[in-house]
Amino acid sequence: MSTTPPESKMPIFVNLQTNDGVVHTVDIRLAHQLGETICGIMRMEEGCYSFDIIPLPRINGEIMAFIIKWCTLVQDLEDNVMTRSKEIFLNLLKKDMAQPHFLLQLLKASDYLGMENFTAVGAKLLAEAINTCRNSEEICYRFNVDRD
Amino acid sequence: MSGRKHRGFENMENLCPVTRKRSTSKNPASAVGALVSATKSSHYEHPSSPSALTFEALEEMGIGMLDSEESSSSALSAIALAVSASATSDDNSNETTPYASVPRMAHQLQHPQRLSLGSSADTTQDSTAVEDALSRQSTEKLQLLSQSKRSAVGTEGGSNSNSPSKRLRNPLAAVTCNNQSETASPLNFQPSTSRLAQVRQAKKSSSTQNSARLVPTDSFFVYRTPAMSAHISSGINYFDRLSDEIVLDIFKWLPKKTLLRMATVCRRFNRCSRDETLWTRLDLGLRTIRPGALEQIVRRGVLVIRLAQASVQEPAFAPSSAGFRARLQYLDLSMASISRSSLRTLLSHCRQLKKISLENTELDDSICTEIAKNKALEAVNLSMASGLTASSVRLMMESLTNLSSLNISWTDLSADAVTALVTHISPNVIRLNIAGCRRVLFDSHVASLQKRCPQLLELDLSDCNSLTPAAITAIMKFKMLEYLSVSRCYLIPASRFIELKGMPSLTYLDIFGMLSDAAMEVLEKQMPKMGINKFIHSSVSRPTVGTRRTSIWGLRTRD
Repeated sequence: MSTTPPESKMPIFVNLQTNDGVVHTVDIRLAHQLGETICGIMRMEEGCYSFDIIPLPRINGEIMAFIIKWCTLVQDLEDNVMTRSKEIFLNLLKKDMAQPHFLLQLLKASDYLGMENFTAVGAKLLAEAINTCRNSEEICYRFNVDRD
Repeated sequence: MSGRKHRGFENMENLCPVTRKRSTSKNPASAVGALVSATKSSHYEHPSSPSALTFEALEEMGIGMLDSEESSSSALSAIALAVSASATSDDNSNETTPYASVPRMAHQLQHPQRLSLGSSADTTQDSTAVEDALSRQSTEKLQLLSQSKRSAVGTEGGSNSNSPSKRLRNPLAAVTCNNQSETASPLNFQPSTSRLAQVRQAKKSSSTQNSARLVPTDSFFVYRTPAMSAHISSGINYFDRLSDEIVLDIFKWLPKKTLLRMATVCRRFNRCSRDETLWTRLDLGLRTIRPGALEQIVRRGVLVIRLAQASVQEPAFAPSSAGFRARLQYLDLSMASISRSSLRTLLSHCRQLKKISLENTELDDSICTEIAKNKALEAVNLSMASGLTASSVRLMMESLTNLSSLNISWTDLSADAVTALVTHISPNVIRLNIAGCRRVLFDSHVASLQKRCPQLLELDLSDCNSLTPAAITAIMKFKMLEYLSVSRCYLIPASRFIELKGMPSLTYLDIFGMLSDAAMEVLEKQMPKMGINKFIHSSVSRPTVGTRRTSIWGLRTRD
């Protein structure tokens, strides 16, 4: 396995395996966006990019797919990532007709990965979702929180 | 996390009136209700594709609902979440049988929704029609759900055991929701509860035969059977999997009202919502603060409070409260109506104040003693305050060495007080307003002031009508003075003003009420570079200047 520089023109892929066994193949550039955790692992690997599989035991396949989708859409943005990326996030959620639980899982995953932007956007969206609840019973109800 | 005692609804009681007031003043419910009913009625006439319909309607509602400019999109997201939540949360009934086949889950999906649509009877009748409409969506969602459940059930075995208690609690929730929706206008309820209405709408556009059945929202909750309620409630609480930091990240975007609501949901939320980082600033201007509420507010660790024109009801502090140190740093009590004892108690807890405004409040010696103990004070505004004595002035000037701007105008200072002021004032003061010291401020005082604070930048001596031309001589010694006001100091003749041209640093001169228009013109010609009579109101130490009302001393008070 040769050491290849990250800026190589050849598309290099990184394999990420989520806890349900699905292997996601992502471009190296994208993978760098996927937060500190993955970057750290890749750095440790020291260039053995193409063949190794990075396990992500705490992340679901669905979640990973969503995050990758989001990253592919966001990676070309230069400035003002927050508002644009939030819109993108929203659109993706809408497309999937996602549930609040999904968003919560996403948040957990992005925290695990160490993706600050994603976590910030997700948190803001979730806050807005909470804000729409008229009273605490609703919050309980929607998010399945125990009352105590 | 600060280890605060869990007070449950007590706090809500005290804080709710504050927040409740805000809601009544803005009156969002009826506005949104109007919007909602308007859009919904229009949508009955124009069926279109499900997604467009839902999101359009919700966009309109969203605009009335949230203040942020992203309200529409956020409402959309919320609704999107809500719509799917209703569909899939019903599927959580399959908690006990996670590996049920998809068709069976689809069928069960229809069941709850049929029930929720108001018919308690047969579920088979419209199931096909409904199924057509939802099959695409539902199968996707169900697969999604089954996947997540498989992973979830393995780890969250504990949540199943919660189901019995949830079952007990849920009917109550259903009833409450129903009550609320009944008291309000039929379609008044926010999109989240009328999520069933959303589902209704989504299906409605695709299958109009449902329209006959789709009566207003409120009746839905009534017909939900206890069994179904149990199914809905026994879901996984994903919040438990999030760390507290993430929860705080979410909470920090919530407005205070929602934050308080969250505090009543569960213990963990209560603890998280009390975190000091969420309560750094608060704007309670023009509000009535109920008894005991001020203490709660201060105990939350608020850093910046605006209480301008608020009225604090007695007793603001519980008798036993002592010893805790408030984190308060910026306090604006301008024109507030607060009793001396409450004010004293409040200030006795504050030792880290940086800027304080007590404009037009009643003071006494003990209050001034407490103020003096805040060594870090930089700006003090005591304009029009009453109750200042020579000793209190002296004490404050001696203690507040970091003071940089002081406004002590129109406080009825005695001659002794003025003397104490100018002899003990901190040399760090660069902005000083002692306007309104009629017949007590003399030229000698100005001279002492100059010796004491040679670096003064801003000096307002308006209405100190005992000043004579000799004062100008003293003023000329200020080498760095940029702004001077001697408005209505009638003993100083106009001819002396031209001397002020000799001060290189002086840029602005206020001499209101001194010269006739003609004389003013002459003066302006003689002093072309001087800004004459530019500022009517002094801004020394004032928290809000001009029309800005949402910040004090440049610090935001609203989230």
